[in-house]
Amino acid sequence: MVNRLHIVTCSLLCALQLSATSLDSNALRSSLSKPQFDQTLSTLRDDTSDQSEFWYWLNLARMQQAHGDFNASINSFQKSFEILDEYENRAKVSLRNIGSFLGSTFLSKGAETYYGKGYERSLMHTLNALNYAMNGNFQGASVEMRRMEQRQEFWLSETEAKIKEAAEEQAKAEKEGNNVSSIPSEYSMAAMLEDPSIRSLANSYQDPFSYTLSSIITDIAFPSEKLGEVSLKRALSLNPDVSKAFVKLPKPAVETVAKPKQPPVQKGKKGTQQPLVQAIEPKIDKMDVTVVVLAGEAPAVKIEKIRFPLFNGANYASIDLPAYNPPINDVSVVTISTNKLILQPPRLLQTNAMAYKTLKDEFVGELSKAVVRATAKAVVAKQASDNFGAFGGLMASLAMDVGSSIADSGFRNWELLPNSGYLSKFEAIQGETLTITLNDRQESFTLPKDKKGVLVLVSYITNDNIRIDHVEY
Amino acid sequence: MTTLTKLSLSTTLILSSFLMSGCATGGAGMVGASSNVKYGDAKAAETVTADFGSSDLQSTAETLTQSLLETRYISKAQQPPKVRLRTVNNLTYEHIDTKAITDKIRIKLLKSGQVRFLADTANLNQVSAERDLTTTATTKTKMKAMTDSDYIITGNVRSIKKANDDVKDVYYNVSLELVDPQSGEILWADEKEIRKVTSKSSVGW
Repeated sequence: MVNRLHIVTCSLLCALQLSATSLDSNALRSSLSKPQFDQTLSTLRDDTSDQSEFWYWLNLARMQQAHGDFNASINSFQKSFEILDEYENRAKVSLRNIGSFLGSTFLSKGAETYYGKGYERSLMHTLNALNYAMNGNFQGASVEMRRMEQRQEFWLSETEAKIKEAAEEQAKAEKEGNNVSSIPSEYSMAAMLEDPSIRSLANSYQDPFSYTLSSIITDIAFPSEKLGEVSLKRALSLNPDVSKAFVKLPKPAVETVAKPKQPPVQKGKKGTQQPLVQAIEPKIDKMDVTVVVLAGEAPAVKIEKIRFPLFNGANYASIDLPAYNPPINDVSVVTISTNKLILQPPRLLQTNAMAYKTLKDEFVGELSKAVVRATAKAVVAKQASDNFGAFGGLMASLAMDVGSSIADSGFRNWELLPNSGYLSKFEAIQGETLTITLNDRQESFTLPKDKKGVLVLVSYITNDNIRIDHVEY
Repeated sequence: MTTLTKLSLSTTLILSSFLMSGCATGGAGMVGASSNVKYGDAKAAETVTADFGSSDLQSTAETLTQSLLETRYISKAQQPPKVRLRTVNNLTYEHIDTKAITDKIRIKLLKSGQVRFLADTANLNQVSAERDLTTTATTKTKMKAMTDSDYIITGNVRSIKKANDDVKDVYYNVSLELVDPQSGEILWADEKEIRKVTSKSSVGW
């Protein structure tokens, strides 16, 4: 008996130690400021414990992009793409999928492997497109944008299937006498899920930011073909503010000069009435400037436990539901200025809204599964209580709680996904100074000359950790 | 620690090692004593994935080169025309190295002896810089000879991808055009179509 206890303790300690060697979600998100960033990136890159996880490569890819290492970021995105591709191409009856399903149905939500929500799977291509673009490979960037659009089309049918599945779960649970239609009042996300801005979203995966960027990148890659128009129309239908992202230079003041005297028209020859003054438009060398600001970090998923007592409080069971820690380090004001323009680009990417909308859509299904898990745990606690007394029941409840907590701690999402995306494409004069203001921080640089355009990527990780890269074309 | 406990721990460790090795995904095998590296037939059909692969590259180059050489603008020309190969646009869902396609076509056409090639736009600057180093005076006539082509070859690679729960279907279309740069007239065009279908296995890990 003592030995058994010893083994259980050792296993628990080992599990805790294993989880302690890698950067957990809170540690990762709290060490992104400028003085810590390089060390955090290095620790994450050298961590081999989570390399089979989809979210690990996505987090690493964002950090590498924000560090200006676009090739490394492309490689990391490729790894996450391979993990997702392997998952999507598994056999119709996959033993791993069955194991994961059984684990998440009866034991813990954390037994599920996280393969990303629709918006994350789309945005991984959007961010990777920026990597290719910053390397000057706009054709490669357009490939990623097409992948993004294809994923969004795929999610159209996938989400409908998920909503249908959730409705079926609800019907099944209600048939068994469980009420899963109302959100538990103790649940921290209860108010957020009922927020009108979340309820009114068209869906949880289509974002106007990606579609707008797609139209811009495609037009740069294939200037003679108007391939970006469809994407732009999609973006506009999702958010009318997209029109504010495109700004042209104001027309220059027309200068009028007196025309030199014309020789008199000879008789018999046809002459046209010439104006006495001529309008001259001053020649300016314009260029297109596209500024992309990726700011902050998206909500981080967590498993929230709502505990409730059983059998006169002698032991307890818990409902575990996915929830989110709020987004962090986001920017509140973005202003772009040149000699002739002052712009406030629209916030087209709102990751937090998409995350909450996803949770809202899947909530009934999640609650139904949570009720099944809680029932299974309550049955075990009851058995322990009947056989070993109240103390045995309490110990069983505690053991199940600790076990699922360890599993839950490994359930993570793309925690470093940008929470906001601002986009603006405008005309500027070659060689003039471009100033970007982010909250109270101001960054300036001189636009190049003799180029058709420039794409500027602003990675705003924290208020003291901002990086600006640009590529000319 | 009792022998029984040690045995159970050892068994757990061995089982864990087996499980972990079973979980490891495939990939390039380690090169060592038990290396799996071997030479394969470069022209054998490659069916590892549904992505655009080496077999597709070879069959595309073969088909389109043959078709191009049969056109009267090449086969009945008084002297081998000067041709410039432009970039083939990648309009697919994959990162295809389209330069590999144009390189393959260029080599096949050059080997036929029926055309002469000018350096492509990307290499033209390097060639020009080399000339500046080796010649004292680069005349406009010489420069014109470097840049004037009789024909331009351009093209696109497109794909259509469809998938459901069971099947993934990818259709590729590689098209090339021979264009007269003076008139803009398309003198020849042909395409190579490829279709690849993959289906999920019924039961698996």
